[in-house]
Amino acid sequence: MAKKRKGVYYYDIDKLNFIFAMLAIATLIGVAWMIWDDYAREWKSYQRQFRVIETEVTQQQLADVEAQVDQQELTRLQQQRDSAEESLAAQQEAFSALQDELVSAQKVLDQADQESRFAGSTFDARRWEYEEAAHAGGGEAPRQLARMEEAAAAVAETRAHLEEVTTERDRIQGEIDELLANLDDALAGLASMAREIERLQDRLDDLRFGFVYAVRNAPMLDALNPSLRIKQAVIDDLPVDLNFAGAPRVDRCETCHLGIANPALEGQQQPFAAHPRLDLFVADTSPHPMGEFGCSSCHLGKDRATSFVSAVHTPDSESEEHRWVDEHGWAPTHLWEWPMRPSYETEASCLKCHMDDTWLPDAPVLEYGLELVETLGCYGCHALKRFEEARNTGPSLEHVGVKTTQEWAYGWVSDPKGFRPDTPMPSFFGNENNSDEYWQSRNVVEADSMVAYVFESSTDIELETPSRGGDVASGLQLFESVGCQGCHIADEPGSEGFPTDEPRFTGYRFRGPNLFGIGSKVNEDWLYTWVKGPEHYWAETVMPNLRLTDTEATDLTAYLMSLRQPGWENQSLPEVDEALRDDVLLEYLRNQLSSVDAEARLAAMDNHEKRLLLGQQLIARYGCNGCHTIPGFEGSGRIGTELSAWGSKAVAQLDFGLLDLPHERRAFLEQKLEAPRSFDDGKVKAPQELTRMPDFVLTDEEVGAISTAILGYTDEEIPDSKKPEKTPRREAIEAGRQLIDKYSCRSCHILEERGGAIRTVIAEQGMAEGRTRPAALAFAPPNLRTQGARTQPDWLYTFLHGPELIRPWLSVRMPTYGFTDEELNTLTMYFAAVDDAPYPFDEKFTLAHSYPRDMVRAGDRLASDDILKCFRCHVREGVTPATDPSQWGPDLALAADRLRFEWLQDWIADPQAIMPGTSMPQYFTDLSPGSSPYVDRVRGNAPILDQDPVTQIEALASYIMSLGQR
Amino acid sequence: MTRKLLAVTVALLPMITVIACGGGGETPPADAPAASTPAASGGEMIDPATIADAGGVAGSVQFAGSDPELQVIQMAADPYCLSSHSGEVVAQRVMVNANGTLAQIFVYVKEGLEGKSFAVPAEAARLDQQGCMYMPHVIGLQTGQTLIVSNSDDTLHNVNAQPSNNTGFNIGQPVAGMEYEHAFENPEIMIPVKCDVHPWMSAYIGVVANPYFTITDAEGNFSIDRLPPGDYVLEAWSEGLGTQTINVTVAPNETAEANFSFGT
Ligand SMILES: [Cu+2]
Repeated sequence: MAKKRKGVYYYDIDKLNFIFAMLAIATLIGVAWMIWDDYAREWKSYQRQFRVIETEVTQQQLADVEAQVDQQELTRLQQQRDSAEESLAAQQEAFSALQDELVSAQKVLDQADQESRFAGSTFDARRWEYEEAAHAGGGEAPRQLARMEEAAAAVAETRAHLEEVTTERDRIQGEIDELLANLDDALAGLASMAREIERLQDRLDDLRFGFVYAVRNAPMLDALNPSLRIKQAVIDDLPVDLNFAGAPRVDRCETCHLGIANPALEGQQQPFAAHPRLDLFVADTSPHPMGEFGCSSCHLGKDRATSFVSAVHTPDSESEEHRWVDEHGWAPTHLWEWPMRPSYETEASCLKCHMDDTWLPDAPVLEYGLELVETLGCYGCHALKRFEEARNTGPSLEHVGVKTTQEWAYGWVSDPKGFRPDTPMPSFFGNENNSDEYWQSRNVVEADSMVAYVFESSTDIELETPSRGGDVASGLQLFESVGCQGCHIADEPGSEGFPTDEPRFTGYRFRGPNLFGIGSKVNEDWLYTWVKGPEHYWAETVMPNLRLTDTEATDLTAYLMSLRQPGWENQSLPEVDEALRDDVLLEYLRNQLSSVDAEARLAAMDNHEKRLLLGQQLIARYGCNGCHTIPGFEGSGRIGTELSAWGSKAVAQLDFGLLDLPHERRAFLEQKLEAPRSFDDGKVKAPQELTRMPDFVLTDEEVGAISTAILGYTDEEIPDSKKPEKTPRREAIEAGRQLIDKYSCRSCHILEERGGAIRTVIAEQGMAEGRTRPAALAFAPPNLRTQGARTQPDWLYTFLHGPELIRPWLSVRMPTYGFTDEELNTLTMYFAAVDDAPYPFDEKFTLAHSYPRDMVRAGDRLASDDILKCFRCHVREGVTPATDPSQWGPDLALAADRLRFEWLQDWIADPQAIMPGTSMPQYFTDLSPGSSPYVDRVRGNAPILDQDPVTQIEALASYIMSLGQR
Repeated sequence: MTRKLLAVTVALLPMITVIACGGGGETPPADAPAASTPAASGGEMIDPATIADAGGVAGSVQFAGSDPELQVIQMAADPYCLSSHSGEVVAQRVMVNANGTLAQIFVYVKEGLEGKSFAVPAEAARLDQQGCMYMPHVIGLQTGQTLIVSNSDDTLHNVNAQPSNNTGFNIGQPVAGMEYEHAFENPEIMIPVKCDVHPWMSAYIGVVANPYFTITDAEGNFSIDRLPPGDYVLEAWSEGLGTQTINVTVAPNETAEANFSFGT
């Protein structure tokens, strides 16, 4: 400071100036910082990076497009253009003359047109004058009539002239067009080749970082029209659940995920990668376009967020979490109920709209999870949408006393996985919370009394006894050929023959129980009665009737009875600690009675009564009736929590016990499935307070899939407009699919491109006999592709009701399922709906073809041994061909009742297109008129139906359809 | 617009003509094999006929095993087939020649020609059905080359080619004189062909991306000519005895020797 200010001031002005200056500078810095902080958003840096990437990709695309330009086509077009121009030049004089002609012709035409119009007007005027004169009467009328007729003649004359000159003008124009046609064609072709290149070049121009870019996106100025901007999709009808209030969904994900819809960016680094399934999502042409479904409706997370952390991304793994912490400062977001789903869980979101879809092939994890829920019977204890009507997953125990022994049943209840490691029956005993010394004794008491109750309540039914000893070898042969292996295996898990190509529990070949060790479980008479007619023992079983003869049933029984588990034979019932049983029963009696009454009641009972009463109490506690029909438990409810909206349950409502788990729904669920009883760890609980969920002994993959499925059950309300449209066709297909699953049709047949599990077995057997794989597969049950278009609904109905033999040489046989009328209708409608084929109550439906006699006769000639020789392979009215059975085709006489005429023609024209790999050859490789090579050889090579392949095919089909009718 | 362009073109016409006539002039040598279209795969285009110092490889395929049991074919199921042979017909699986060598071994250059491409031969190969047997039993094709499948028999055959790496076909040829054309786009060793009416009928098609393939003759010999000098892997394929490979070096203007030996 050079000098002090003069005068008296209360404050030191210089000091104040300094302070103000500092404050001003600080404020300025603050404002600048504020503007900068507001400006320098995370997403903008992504958008800048993306411009670079998009530029590279677009350049690459441009290079590709330029390289891909079909040089031959380009040269051809250029040559066409050049030669067109050349020939035009050569005819330059003629061309100019034509053009001159056109000009003068047009003049003449215009003139004629005008004259014609004038003549028309004159006529109109004179007609009016005549009408007036005629109306007024007097002598004027004849004169006016003459004038009108004169005008009419002029109209006709001028019109004729006009037509004449128009024709002339059109002729000249036509000649000119013809001369120019080649050139115009070539120029149009060249322009269309350049179109994509121009589009890409324009895009590259847009992506340049230039002056315009800098100005548009400068701080403050970017309020006007920036090119870096937030991109959002507003989805009104899929609101975000903000605790009791729904707000419209505003997805800003694309602000950073800029390449999400660009197929060229597949596999790019994040956040710029394209969606991996643009065929299904995001793209406008997909069923889930971004503008209608957004992103967070499936992926969850915070819709409006525009930064990595606030969007509530969820890492897939610990290593990813560490990386995110380093790169983005990621931390879990508390108090947001909907963190993004990890990628392995995304499919869970499909369920909220696709709850009614029977099959979900595009969501394989979810589909697997739902199949596990069904097979393991989760819905037996927990109410679950989709499974309200599902049948019991375990067998009925109404008559179990005639099937097996109490001794075996005791061992089974105590440790089901000990007898059959792959059984869906879970373990109730010997788990984490009931394995100590006290529980070891108590488990014996409990299992013993439950078995006692079940056997006491079981009623006898009559069993048949095989009349002789069966032959194990023929039984095995039957087991391997008749079709049992579509649904059953008979191998110890882990052994050599145990199939590994399908998941245990849900694989088609695991639909029925593993028969390994069955001889140590059931008695011979029961098994014999069962294989002959399963419905006798259990009316609701889905096991079909294979129409076995007594001999076959005897042999099959002998083979199955030879499958033994030695450790499970000659068992005895355990020694029960009677005092402990009294204690346990008293404990249960006290639930309903006062202590005094309970004790009195106990004292009044004998041992047998105690055993039964305790058994009944325990069955109710463990919920055995959730999976099994047990007399005395009809109509009792489910013992578990309803899970139909579990995926929306607030995390705060979950009791994690003393377990050290991340507080997330998924972690809870996985723990519950992996070690259900571990939630009691460290807790002090009375016996009946203990967790009772049994242990299914699941693999990590199974646990993951079930978790994904359960997490998909949310309470979100989805408008119908977002769900798959419910058309009658779709409903018919869904209903059919449910039956297909129920009866496991896909164990043997390929339906909608999946299934046919038994083919593996049949191929292996055939190849062991020296056949090639395709030849071996000729003995497999048919692929049902195009079944609805192929067969008549009436035939299909009758066939499903009581299968007849279409391919009698196959040893695998279509069993009888005893479908109800409703099920038969559902199935026939399903097949028609899948192929979109007409069905009886369709207005257009008609099968009543009459086949013209000459067509039938021509078809007969074509099919005969002189020409196509159809019966070298096809059975004809029961007569089998001389070839090997693996080459035989169905009896053509069955076609009339079975096939649809239209399908038969398509089939003859190109069998491979309908059934790739079929041994039916294609006889007509060229369908152009007159090209058929098949002439009437008996009648001096006379042409048949003008050698038209399409007509010949129609004739063949007519003949085949008429075969059975004669 | 079009008219204007026309006027410009007319003016430029003399120039275009001059440019068009300026290039080329050299005609291909008369003895070069007629080539239809260039092969699809890229790379250096080789014309075997014009390789200046071309060499070759030749040899024989010995059979070291014990003579296989001859399988007599039972043709009784089709009287036509039966009547078209006077004696017994044996299956053509392992064909041991009188001198102890093997016939019908498919020999081809498997490796060593990477990055080179060859014109597709204009001549088609023919697989004929005669007396309910395929003629020949083993046939070689270059990728893209036309195969004509013909039927000389007056009986029903279907020709069911079941490739794993190409589009197959299954066509019926119920009368004599029928022909069907097909080309395989990808190399494949070997494509099985069968007839579902006559289970004994079988043929094998070897599809190779180059023209250097052949089949051993009745003396067990083979030779592959006009190879560019270099190192090659030669493979021999036998129906029933598997495959064998040999490394050969072809020197300029010389024929290298390669002898295979199959056991059982
Ligand atoms: Cu044949």
